[in-house]
Amino acid sequence: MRKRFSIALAAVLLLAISGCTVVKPWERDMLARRDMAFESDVLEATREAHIYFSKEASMPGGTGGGGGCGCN
Amino acid sequence: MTEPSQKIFASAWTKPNRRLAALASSALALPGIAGTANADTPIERAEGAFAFSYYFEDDLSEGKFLDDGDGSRERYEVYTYQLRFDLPVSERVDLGVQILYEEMSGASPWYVAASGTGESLQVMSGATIEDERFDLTVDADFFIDSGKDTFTVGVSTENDYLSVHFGIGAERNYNDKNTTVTTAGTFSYDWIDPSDPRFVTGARRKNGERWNIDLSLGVSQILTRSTIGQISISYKHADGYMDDPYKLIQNLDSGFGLLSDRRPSEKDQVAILTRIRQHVDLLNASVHFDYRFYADTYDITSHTVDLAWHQSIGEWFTIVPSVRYYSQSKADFYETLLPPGVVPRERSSDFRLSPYGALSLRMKAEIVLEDLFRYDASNWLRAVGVNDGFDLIVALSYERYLSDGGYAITHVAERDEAPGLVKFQVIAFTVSGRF
Repeated sequence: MRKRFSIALAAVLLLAISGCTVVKPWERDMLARRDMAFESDVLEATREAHIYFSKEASMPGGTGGGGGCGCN
Repeated sequence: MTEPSQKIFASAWTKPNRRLAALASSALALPGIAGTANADTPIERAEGAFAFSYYFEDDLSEGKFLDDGDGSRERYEVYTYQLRFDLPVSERVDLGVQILYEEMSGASPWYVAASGTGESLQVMSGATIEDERFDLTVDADFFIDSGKDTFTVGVSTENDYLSVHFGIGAERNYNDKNTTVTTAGTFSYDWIDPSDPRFVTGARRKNGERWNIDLSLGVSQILTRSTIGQISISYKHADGYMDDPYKLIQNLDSGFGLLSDRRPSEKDQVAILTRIRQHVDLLNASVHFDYRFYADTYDITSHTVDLAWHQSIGEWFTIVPSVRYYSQSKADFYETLLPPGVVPRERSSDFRLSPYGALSLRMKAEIVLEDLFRYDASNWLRAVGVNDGFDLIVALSYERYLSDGGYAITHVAERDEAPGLVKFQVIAFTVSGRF
């Protein structure tokens, strides 16, 4: 099951990347907007990740460490 | 550590125009105040941000509370203060410093007790728990033509807890900066020293340590002129003290005695995070879609969907309604009450290991004022990235979080539903400036 999932995931990734046209730097005006950032507010992202980490069983994903006990 | 690198990088660097750099941003990162942790080009101006937030949980409802005489229904509240600075150390090096201080107080779920009518009721600690957390993280970005390398160190302390971490990361751009590959590794060490005498039981572990290794790999891809996507996989291995020293579990077999919380001392976790950003030019808005799949060796799996609509109104105002849905299955050693039979080596009644779903409703309003005023910066200010103009961002946000066994994707049996599931609200205020 997990093997199938991994193969499917890899296939979707490859298809997604190979199917894309190259967007030139001067065509990236919309992509360069502040509201298109994956995380436009680091403090908000850190705070939310810590709250969810403290109250739920899952880890945030992405990169980084630290954070505190998460007890209580 | 920074000086040799500065010299190497500075020799091959030509300073780009800021707006051109923004347009040439890679698939991973786009510019923005307080968003520089993601930036893929060096910042040219110093940036600072301050945030204050107030987190408060709903009181435990009377119907789920068992009063043992000392317990309180008043749950946690947390006041959090955050500060972040990003400084352009050289034309190839950025330095970020992030400080967090928070004060926590209130009552915490202690254990679940069987009522006379067979219901599972939550016993709480007293409302006198008080704690503080201090967190400091320093990160340095070293830029090269094809990407950047990042080094991070940090420390986090509470009255009964100390954590230090060290991380390295690398980011490389390919395909005319349409594709960015990111990889990172973090090592952390935690020291837990439970000290609150209210929770003392004979079986409680006194203190302990835990080692953690985080590894992650991500790919960001520009999909169209208005669409960008990212997928990343994270793996974490933790080894050591995993119990919650402030929680107990009631044993139905031995006169309703109480046992300490015990968990496997090793844990492996995997998270796959997918993020899509789509700009809708017609409406001057952007849609954010995040999905995370999570699984661990406690047998917990979870699904998280986060959907946000960033609506620009005029040039400087943005409003962001968003919704987040979360659902998790239970840990294989979780029980609200320990059933009759052999006492298992691992057991916990912690509501965070129970099966449930959660719904968050959020609203954020943000004002961005570029070039709010201009001034003549002296040479020593220019040396630390303070130039002649000032941009300001002010944001106010609110979140309502509700959790319940009935919100889970799969059916939750009545005996598994934790009475201590949390509901909370968060109000946050952020002010950021680029100098």
